[in-house]
Amino acid sequence: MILRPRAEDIAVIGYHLSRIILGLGLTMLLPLGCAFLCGERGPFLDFLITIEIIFVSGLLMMQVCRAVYESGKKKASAYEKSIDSLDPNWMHGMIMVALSWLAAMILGAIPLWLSGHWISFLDACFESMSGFATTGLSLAQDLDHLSLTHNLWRHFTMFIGGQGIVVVALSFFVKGFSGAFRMYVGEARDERVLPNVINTARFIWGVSFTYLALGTAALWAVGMKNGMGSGRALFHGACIFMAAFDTGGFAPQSQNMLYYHNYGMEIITAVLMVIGAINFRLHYHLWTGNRRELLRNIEMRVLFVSILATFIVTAVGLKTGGSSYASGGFLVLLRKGFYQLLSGHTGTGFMTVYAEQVGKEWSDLSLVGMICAMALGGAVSSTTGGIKMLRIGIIAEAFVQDIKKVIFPSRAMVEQKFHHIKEVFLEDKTVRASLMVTLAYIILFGIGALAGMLCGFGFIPSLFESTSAAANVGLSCGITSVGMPAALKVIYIFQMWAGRLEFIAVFTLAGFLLAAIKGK
Amino acid sequence: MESKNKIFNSMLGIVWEVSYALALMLAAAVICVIVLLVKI
Repeated sequence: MILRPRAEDIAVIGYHLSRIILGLGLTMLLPLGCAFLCGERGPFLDFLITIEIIFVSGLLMMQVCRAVYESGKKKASAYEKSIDSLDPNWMHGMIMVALSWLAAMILGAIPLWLSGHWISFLDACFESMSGFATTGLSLAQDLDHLSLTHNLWRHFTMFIGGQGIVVVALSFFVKGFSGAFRMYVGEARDERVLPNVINTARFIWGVSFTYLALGTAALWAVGMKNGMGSGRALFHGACIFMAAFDTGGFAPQSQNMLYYHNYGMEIITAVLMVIGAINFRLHYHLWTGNRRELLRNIEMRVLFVSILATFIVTAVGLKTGGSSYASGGFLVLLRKGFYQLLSGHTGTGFMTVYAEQVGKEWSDLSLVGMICAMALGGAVSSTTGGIKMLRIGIIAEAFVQDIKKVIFPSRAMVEQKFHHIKEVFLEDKTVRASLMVTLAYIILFGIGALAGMLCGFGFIPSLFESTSAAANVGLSCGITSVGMPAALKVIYIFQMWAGRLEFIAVFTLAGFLLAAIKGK
Repeated sequence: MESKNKIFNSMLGIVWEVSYALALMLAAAVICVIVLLVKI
């Protein structure tokens, strides 16, 4: 029998959700300050209105939830603690995370919609979810004339979403509570760097801010060397850094990275993309002296092999398909072929070619190579999307174990180990968990591909775009545009959301809603 | 002294991470050459 959730459960979820929403409102002070400093009056008002909406709705929600909880407590004494000191359980934590991301999408879309550069509120929501989920697919109109403030917000959503909305709230705005770990896990961060989840969140920010300083400085220098003014080069450097390190893929100009057409920019962003695809736990070990871990870690080994293997497929596809990149010589193949592949594999979505070129010029084989790369993704507990390297490594080790069991004498004990920070014995439950998530991703890719085909697009382009959305990549072969059907936009939004949260929080929310409808 | 060590270790960590990315690009460059040279 399914039990219907109590009003107190909804109140606990709503109360903590309102705290996260208020934290999100505070992050909008950055674009607000930018608008003030740049003298952009319209964008200043857009953000001021949004912040007011967030604070009014957040505080109202907080008070209503508190009142509902207190009245429920008096009647049934379901929970004895006050709502402030009550630790959310696993169900609360997961649902809070799932709803936080939806709330962030809607609230983050308001200033974008008010700017007039997005045709509908749905388009603005698409852009907002694409930013928070670090995807990079864009429906902006006349991006080249978008205000600095709105452009900064687009990229800042990637910086927030890459680290995790809950991580932002835990680090800066919400005082620690023991339910924090449940929310942290719900955001697809199943590995703690440090024993305390708040310290883990702060370490993640430490790494991010260090690279923010280094990456922005490097991109700023390259921009100035190429003739940009210092202010403009700094703005572009900061935006490109946020999109590269957080494996997002937005760029300030509509031509994406092709706009710069510069070796320096491409090399720096390629390095940042790879660093963004590294597990934060591995960052911690490398930064604390355990540098051999880089060579021994299963994820880093699989990532290296996987990137090169998928690149071979793509490069061969480009050559046999008669692409101009292959006939253009070694450097062209590296800059156009490998850059796109690396961008796809790390889940970034930066492009140095036009989306239409990918759809029309790239052969099916090269697109299949790209689809595999996008689906595989980077490391777990990084800013990337996709199936992730640890799971691929575990599944590969399980295959080896099974083959050994067949080959070795029946009495032989076959124990498979892999190295991930420490030596780990391969257990059936670990393999099962990896296979479950992999299967869920494959189904998600398939749903989007089917939807694309129902809208009249071919199989390979539909699968390409669907994988790009669900694995939070952002590469496009031309399907994502303002003119695509609204239903497809909604499906891509769902894919970005479910793919970023790695399903558990989404399934918990679905179960909660089902229980609310059918429960007794 | 301890904080100096911390900063030094962090910097070395960054150098290793950047080296990994550069090694990846170098390997990709080799693949490019091989793919272009081999007749397919």
